[in-house]
Amino acid sequence: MRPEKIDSLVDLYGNSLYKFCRKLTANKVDADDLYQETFLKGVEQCHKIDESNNPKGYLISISIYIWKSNRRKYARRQNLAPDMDMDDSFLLSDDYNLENDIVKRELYDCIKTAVNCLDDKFRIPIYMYYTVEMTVEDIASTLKIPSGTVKSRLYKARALIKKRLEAVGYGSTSTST
Amino acid sequence: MDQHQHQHDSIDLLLKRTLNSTHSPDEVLNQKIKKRMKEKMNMERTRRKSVYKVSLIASLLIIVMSVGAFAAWNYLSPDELAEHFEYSVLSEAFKGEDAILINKSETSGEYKFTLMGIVSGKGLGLTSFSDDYDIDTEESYIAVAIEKLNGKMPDIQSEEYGNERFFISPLIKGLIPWHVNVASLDIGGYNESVIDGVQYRLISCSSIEMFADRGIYLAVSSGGDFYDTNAFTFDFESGEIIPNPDFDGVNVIFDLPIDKAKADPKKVEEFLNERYQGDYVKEMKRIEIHVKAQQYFDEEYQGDYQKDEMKASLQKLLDGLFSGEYTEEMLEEMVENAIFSKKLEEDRSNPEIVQQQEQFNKLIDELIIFEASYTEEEIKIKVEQFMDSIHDGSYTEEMLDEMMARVKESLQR
Repeated sequence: MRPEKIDSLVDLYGNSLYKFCRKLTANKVDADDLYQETFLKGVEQCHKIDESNNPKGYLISISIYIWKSNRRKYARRQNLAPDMDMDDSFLLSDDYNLENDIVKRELYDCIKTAVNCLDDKFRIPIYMYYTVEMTVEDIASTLKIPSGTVKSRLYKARALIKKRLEAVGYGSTSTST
Repeated sequence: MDQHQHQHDSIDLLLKRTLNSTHSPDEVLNQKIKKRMKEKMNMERTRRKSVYKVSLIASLLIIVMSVGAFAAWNYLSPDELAEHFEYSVLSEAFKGEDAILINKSETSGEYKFTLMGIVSGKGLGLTSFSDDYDIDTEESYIAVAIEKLNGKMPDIQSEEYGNERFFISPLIKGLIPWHVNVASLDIGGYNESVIDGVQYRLISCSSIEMFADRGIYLAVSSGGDFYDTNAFTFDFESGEIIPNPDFDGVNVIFDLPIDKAKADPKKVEEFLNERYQGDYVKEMKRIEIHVKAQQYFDEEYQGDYQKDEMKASLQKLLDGLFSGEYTEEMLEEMVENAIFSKKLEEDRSNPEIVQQQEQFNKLIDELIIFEASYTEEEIKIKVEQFMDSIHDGSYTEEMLDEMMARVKESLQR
């Protein structure tokens, strides 16, 4: 990719990348920091970014690398001070009502906790699939693992989350939402 | 839709709703990033020009300077490396009196390893972001550089990065290296980066100064992230650890010149007693005997693999070397281990068994890979098909149950 075009990646993929950084770091300050460092690193690597071949995935891979390299710096605060400005996307259903809201919030908090407790090899593909909405093939090429391995990790992650939900009393996951 | 599919869809829907995010970057942040990206692009262009100039000078200097001196000049210094990882306290420590700057290189295979320096102390890992860090933690930090003799180390973004993995760790003379190394020194870990074709690793671990009077090494080997018993030879008598010349990979050993006055034998005693849950001298002797037995069966024993015969032969050997230091229980255990190892080796060289294992692995892959989860009944049918293929249709219910248990265990992993 030509260096003078590199900043166009911010407009094209900034939103997706930012959502991913928020999930990895679980707080705004660290997410902003990681987001910024990813793009700056992208400048160094611009000769490796192919606009026609999953550039979003390449940025995600830079993000993962920076996050792993600086784990102490991006202190994992999920268990200490969870982000207070929560996503409210789940409230945007047509049948929203207050009574269901509390039940749903508890369920979704439980799911988020379950995901946070997963090993990185399951957690990262889960975020890439559900938060960044990448395909299995794009996840595979980003993480440099076979598609079959991506599928198996998604499958295993879902099974682990389901098990955790059942353990805390969400026995029937066939909800009517 | 069957129940499994329904539940699968429900989890899928829940995850989509929960993990979908409305967060987006501030416009101010985006503008700031774009500005910094442009500034960085301009700096990169200027830097590249400078690097070419410096490289030309460097090429000329090689002719007149010694290799050791050149190596020291060309790398980041340990304090610069610490700064690169944003360990400002550590960076200052590497400039201080307690730091030991070594800059010694060894080559092995196609690599050159340079031990840059080491520093130990309290609170060295503190950064502005580590709010849950214990500043009373006593740690050691070791800076190492890895280069290819011909070419550059792969950048972290490249596909080749990580293809060659290195185990780098302090080892203590006289202590079993596969027991006492960076993985077992409480807070062991590392930061790594590739800068200008040189791979740098900053290793951190619980302070090793306490072992100073025993002798400390820094070991490097290839092929994995953990200690490889094939890479080094440990002499139980002298306590020395040396690279194994027959190792199929890279292996080097450095001496870490830590001041013996910093040794703390009492702390070492506590560490070892905790590590070995009591009598570490006795435990080390037990392991030495096991290792000797294993070597004997691997390299010297010529008899049949019959338990009684093996026991008698081993007992004769051990009476000569370790009389009164082993028990009947240990003798039984060592012989059983040897028989098991032999069987494993035979299986590996039996094409039929190898083929069965491959078919089993394929079965597990098939069960895992398909997202629509199989029911219990469907898994049983698959396993029965597998058993038919390897036993030609003749197997017992017990064998089928055993195989089902193996499959379920594999699916749990």
